[in-house]
Amino acid sequence: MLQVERLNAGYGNIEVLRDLSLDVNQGEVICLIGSNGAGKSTTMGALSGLLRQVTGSIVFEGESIEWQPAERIVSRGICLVPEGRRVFQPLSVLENLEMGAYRRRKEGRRALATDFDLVYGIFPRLKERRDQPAGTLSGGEQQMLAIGRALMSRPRLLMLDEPSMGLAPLVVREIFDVIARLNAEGITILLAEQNARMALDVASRGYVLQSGQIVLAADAAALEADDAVREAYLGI
Amino acid sequence: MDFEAKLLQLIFAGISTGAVYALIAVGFNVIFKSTDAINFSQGEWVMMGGLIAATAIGAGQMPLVIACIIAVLAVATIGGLSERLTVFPMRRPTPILITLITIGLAICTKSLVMLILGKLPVGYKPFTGETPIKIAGATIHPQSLWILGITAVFMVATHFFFERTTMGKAMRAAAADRQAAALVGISVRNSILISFVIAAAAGAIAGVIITPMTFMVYDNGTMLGFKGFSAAMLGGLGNLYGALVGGLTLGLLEALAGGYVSSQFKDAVAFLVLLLVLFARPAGILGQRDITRV
Repeated sequence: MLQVERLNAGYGNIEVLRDLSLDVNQGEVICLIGSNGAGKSTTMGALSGLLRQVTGSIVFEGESIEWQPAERIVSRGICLVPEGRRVFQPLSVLENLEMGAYRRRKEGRRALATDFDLVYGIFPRLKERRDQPAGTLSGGEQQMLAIGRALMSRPRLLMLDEPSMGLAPLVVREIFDVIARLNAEGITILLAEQNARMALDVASRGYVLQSGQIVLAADAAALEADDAVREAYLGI
Repeated sequence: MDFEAKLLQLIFAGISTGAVYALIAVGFNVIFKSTDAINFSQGEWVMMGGLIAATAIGAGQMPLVIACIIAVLAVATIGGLSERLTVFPMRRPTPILITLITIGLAICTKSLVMLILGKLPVGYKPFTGETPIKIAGATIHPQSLWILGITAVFMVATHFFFERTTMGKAMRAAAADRQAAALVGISVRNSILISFVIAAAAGAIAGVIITPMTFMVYDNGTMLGFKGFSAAMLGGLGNLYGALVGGLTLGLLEALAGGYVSSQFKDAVAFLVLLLVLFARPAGILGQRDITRV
């Protein structure tokens, strides 16, 4: 579904990613684990089109997308839930979700109604708070809104950057349950996480990033059993 | 004239100029929201609105309504073109770069208008006669009523656009978080374009309705822009309702200062207000009301 080859990306003079290659198959949950500054968010930024200083090849469903800006990439079926949630704070919950479907605005209200039902079905709390400004939601609710907003674009590949960041353990559990559920419903998932334990529980395969390079790629179970990974990321 | 009648008279004058300042301030706010830049060509668009309408009526022999509509559409187009030709081609349009560009645009606009339309002050007749309407011993110019009415309609329409239409909501989303907006497919470049068009239209409308009261010359733009900027700062830069509050307050203060202190002092009021706002309350009266919680 997604093939990334020899990706180099950075900011200004700083090269962050060096020759990064990875692939994601239809129906998988793939996780990128790595410590702070390893290049997880940069990878997500490059794949989503936010980061423009990119060389290498990104092929999604057989088409090259590395030159596309973010606002086009979302129409192709890739959507990123950014680090730090980044909901539109002054807009209401409902407006945030509407904006998630911005690229589908010509489909009309009826087409979107099913998507609203789907999102409210997964996150009933968003329905309760639909007229509240997104900035007044709790961190966990904002994360739900950020995921809901991304779902409104009907992604085939959903990318999540640090969805557990700053959330209480119970909420993290809830979010990861949702990730598993979305995958069961057919959405392919690419997940960047510092919380390696949670990520590996839900993932089928994983990549370990270190200083902008992939140092290890294996099945989730194999990574969980790997001594180096256990020591560095699982704290065992 | 007794005290109350004089006060009422000054209030009428104040709110009608204040409404014009509010329109100009809307222009500053809309562009500030979408780019974080201060648009120095805002006042030139006001001046152009008046001059183009006057030219269409004088040289073009057009009926007043048509001339005014043409002037607003023309200036809105010029606003959009200015963005596409200067801001759009930049790879990374930072706020300071856009601000500097608008200074250049202002100078170009002013010179071109002078070369093409001339240096003479122009004007045209008020929309519906000049017979003042008497209210409680004071009088109000019919044009003032037009100014208030058109400003009110424009404010309601702008509110509707930003609160109810998908494009308006997308512009608010882009103003709140540009990257997140791009991630859901909103083109931030387009929302900058639309903000220039709206700002130019707001300026042109202000120019078209004020010209019958004051005449318009090619170099009026700077002062009008400055007044609008002070009003925007007073109300809270970037806040649509702040523009209205700031514009009316500034208009009233100016009229009262002109009436009770000295008419020489009138223009200084805007400068004083601006300085006071910057010292005492840089966020303006309504300030940034965005709620943040992490």
